[in-house]
Amino acid sequence: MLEIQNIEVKYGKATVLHDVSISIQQGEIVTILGSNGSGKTTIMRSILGLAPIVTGQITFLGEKINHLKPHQIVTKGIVVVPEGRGIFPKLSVEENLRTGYVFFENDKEKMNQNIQDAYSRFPILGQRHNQLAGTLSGGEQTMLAVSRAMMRKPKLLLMDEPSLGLSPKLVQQTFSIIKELHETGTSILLIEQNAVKALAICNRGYILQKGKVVLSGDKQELISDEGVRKAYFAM
Amino acid sequence: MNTFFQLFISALLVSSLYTLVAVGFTMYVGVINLANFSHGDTCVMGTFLLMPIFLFATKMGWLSAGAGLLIPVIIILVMLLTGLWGAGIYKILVKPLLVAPRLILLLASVAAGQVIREAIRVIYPNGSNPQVFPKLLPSGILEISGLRFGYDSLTIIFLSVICIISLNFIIKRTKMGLAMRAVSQNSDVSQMMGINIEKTIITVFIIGSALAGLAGILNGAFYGITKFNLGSNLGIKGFSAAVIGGLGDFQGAIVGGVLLGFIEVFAAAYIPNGSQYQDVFSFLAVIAFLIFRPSGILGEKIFEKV
Repeated sequence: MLEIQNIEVKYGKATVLHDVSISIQQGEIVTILGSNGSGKTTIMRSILGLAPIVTGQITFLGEKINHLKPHQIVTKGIVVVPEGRGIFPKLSVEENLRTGYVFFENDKEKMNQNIQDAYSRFPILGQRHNQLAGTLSGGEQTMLAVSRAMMRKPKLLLMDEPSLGLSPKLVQQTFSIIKELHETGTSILLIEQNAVKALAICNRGYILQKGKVVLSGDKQELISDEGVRKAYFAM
Repeated sequence: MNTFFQLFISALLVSSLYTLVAVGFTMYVGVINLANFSHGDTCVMGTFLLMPIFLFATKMGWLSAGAGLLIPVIIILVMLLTGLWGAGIYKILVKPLLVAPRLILLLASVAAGQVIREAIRVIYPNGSNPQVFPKLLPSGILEISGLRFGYDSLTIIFLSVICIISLNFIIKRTKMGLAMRAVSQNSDVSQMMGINIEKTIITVFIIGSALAGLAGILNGAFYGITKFNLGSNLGIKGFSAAVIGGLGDFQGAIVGGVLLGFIEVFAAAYIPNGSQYQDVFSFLAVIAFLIFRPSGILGEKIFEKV
């Protein structure tokens, strides 16, 4: 459903992505692994139209999207959990949830239903619905970012290191939500540093190094690869 | 006690004008982090747009037919025109420079202000000199148990309060308002949430400039005079109010505007020879805020947790 074909991204003179091609089929969880500075987040920004793409193209559901504005791209059915959660600190919890809905659809009843669903999933958000999101703890902010992403039924969910800085319990919880979303038919692109977790739930994956895809394959291929084992599993 | 109440009303009047300027100023800072120094000149542009229209309406005899209805229509028309100017400023000046360092954009806005001032001076007949501004506001005095309130001051205060309340409603309760607040906090993530940031920023420029136009007109109508270079003072006052309240914070601009107005009026009244130093007191307050509380009264910083 998402096809990234040979894109090159440059910030000024620095090339951040070299000839990267990635594809996601309907219903898949695809993960992109790589260390800091390998270009993971840039891939995400390229998909969303927030990075300067020099060559190559990106298509979503058969339609070329890399000339569109970011807000037009997400309207096609892409939902994002941004790097560092990207919640709006000076909006209340409930307003944050609303930002995940009102700019796409106009159905007030459905929006309130979705907000209630979020509160029953994470009761703590319900208790704090009037509180400014910036006053939440890190874990609660992640719950909020994930809930906001689920306000709209996405065709494709992009997640940029959702587990960063979370306690093991919350990491567990986050990944079970990802799994749950996947089971309802959402395709997911998961960018992660937590390779063990990410490889455990993905169908396929790509390994990124210095802006190049150095390895790609399905779950088993990646797990059994010598280089991956050395780099991510320390064995 | 009577003097106190009279001063209170004067202070509210001054506060109203400052607040109308300050909210626009602070909204620009909010959405694109720009201190737009042409904002005060936009106010004055409002007065110089109004005068020819008013003159024309008088010549056509429309004014004598129904002044009560026509004056609000003219004022709204001028607000639309300055709003349009705001949109133009965004399209022509701000948008191409958004990628440049903010200092460049700030200098460009100073230049835009200069363009307005000089254009008025050159184009308007006898533009270098002060112009008599039409008395748009109801005249007369309301007397309640020894207290005298001018209908003109009361009208200005009333109009400003209505504007601020409506704007507050837009910001707090509407989809566009939610977009404005989201963009002012994180424009990248706002786009990921499907917000059209260009539309949002343009709306802010239209609203801010329309309110500036109104502030200029009310200011001119109250003092009965306008001049091509009055804008720098109004702009600086609006900027000061925004700084006192917390740059980028909408409610802060209101608090700042009110506080600045009260400082000026009461300092002038209660400090010996104070009226000569009116501006000194307000700028001292700004300097004090910049040193001791640069985030302003309401500009509380909430750090993103990691």
